[in-house]
Amino acid sequence: MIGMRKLLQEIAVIPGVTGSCIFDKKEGALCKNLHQDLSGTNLETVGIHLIRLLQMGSMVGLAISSSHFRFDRYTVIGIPLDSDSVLITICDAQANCSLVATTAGMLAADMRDDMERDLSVTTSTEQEPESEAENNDEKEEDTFIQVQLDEVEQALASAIGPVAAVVMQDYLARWRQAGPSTSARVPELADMLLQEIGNPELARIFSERVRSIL
Amino acid sequence: MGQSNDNAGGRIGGVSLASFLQMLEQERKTCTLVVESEDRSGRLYFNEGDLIDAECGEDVGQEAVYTLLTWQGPSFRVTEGEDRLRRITLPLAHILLQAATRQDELQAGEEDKEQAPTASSPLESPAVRNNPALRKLVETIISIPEVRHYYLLNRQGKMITQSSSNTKLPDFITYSVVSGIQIRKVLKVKGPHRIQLNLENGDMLLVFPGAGMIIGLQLDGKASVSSVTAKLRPVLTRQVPR
Repeated sequence: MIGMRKLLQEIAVIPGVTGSCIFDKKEGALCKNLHQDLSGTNLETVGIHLIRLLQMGSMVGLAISSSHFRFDRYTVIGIPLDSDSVLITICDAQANCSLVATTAGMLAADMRDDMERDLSVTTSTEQEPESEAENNDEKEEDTFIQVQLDEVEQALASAIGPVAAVVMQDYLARWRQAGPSTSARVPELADMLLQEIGNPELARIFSERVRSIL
Repeated sequence: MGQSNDNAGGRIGGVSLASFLQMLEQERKTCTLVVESEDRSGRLYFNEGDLIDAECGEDVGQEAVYTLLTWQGPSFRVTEGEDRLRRITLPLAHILLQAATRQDELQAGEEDKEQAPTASSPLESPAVRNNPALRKLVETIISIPEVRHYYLLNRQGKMITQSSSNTKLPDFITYSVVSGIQIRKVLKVKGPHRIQLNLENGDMLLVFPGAGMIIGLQLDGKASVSSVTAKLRPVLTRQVPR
């Protein structure tokens, strides 16, 4: 955490930077450094969309090193730290975004090295119980339930498009954490996925398809 | 690399550049031929024996080929093929004949006339052919040397025309725009005016979400965003029918 704060403090001094944040898909905003104009900003939404974009890029064969979204007042830069976390930097529209991205990228690379070092210490102690849990899941998830899950994903794709694969992975992880992977719990997963469908008509169609699957 | 190094290329056994291009065509090669002469260099791109693109300084496509064929005693080497936008639609034999004619006419002080592009020209696709604004847009995009491929989509993400056979990238481009819209709502701003995705191999994907369509450009590592945007600005402000 100290390393993350240090990273954000170093980014904050780059001319034009209005705010920055390290966002993790599972943990949310780990660390923030925002100017008061952005203090109320919901960076969770920004972080989730940036991470999904990076994941989708990976699925279509694009290894994205940074993403820049240019708006009228701000430019939002997302730099992946690992597969589940992203460094978000928000700059003024007039800022030298190339400089910001290059500098932030360099600092993020240093951070990434530190994170990998920390992760290798923590995962070596946690690895055995996790892999044991995964083995249990694999035994429980027989072919039939896998077919059901595939069909639920297809129904989701009809509603929200090709990002369904990425969204499904997210929700499957949470669903598995909440209980055993059984056919009886698939409706619970479908209810969770409904949150992703903004359009009521598409949500209704998705629910009907899931009912027919079950 | 030098002219005397057979492994690197150059005049291998007395083969001229034109002859080597024909050999690559006959062998159905997919490769990039890097041509160098003094302090100049250029590239010719082959896909399964078809010469699909070339670049030489500011020139791309056929003009670049004509320039390269005028160089005296160039050295050349074969490198890995690249996925490129097809700017060249004439068969190699026509281009070589055209190049020879241009050389003769240049000496005679006359102007050459280009042959009409074949049916596989990007400008001849049905979506583009009957739409002057779209045609102008595609012409402008093709003229930018750093463009590897382009994707033109309507606002619903449906493909209007694209230069690549990649069917997954249009969906990704659409999703990047959707992500931008979601971020816009959070930040309470207008846009996104432009989305830039830098890739680890140095290339870039540039997305312009316009009023009438979404333009996605795959650019090579030499591209300057401001330069590409400046070249596109005159055509981006036109209303392109959906």
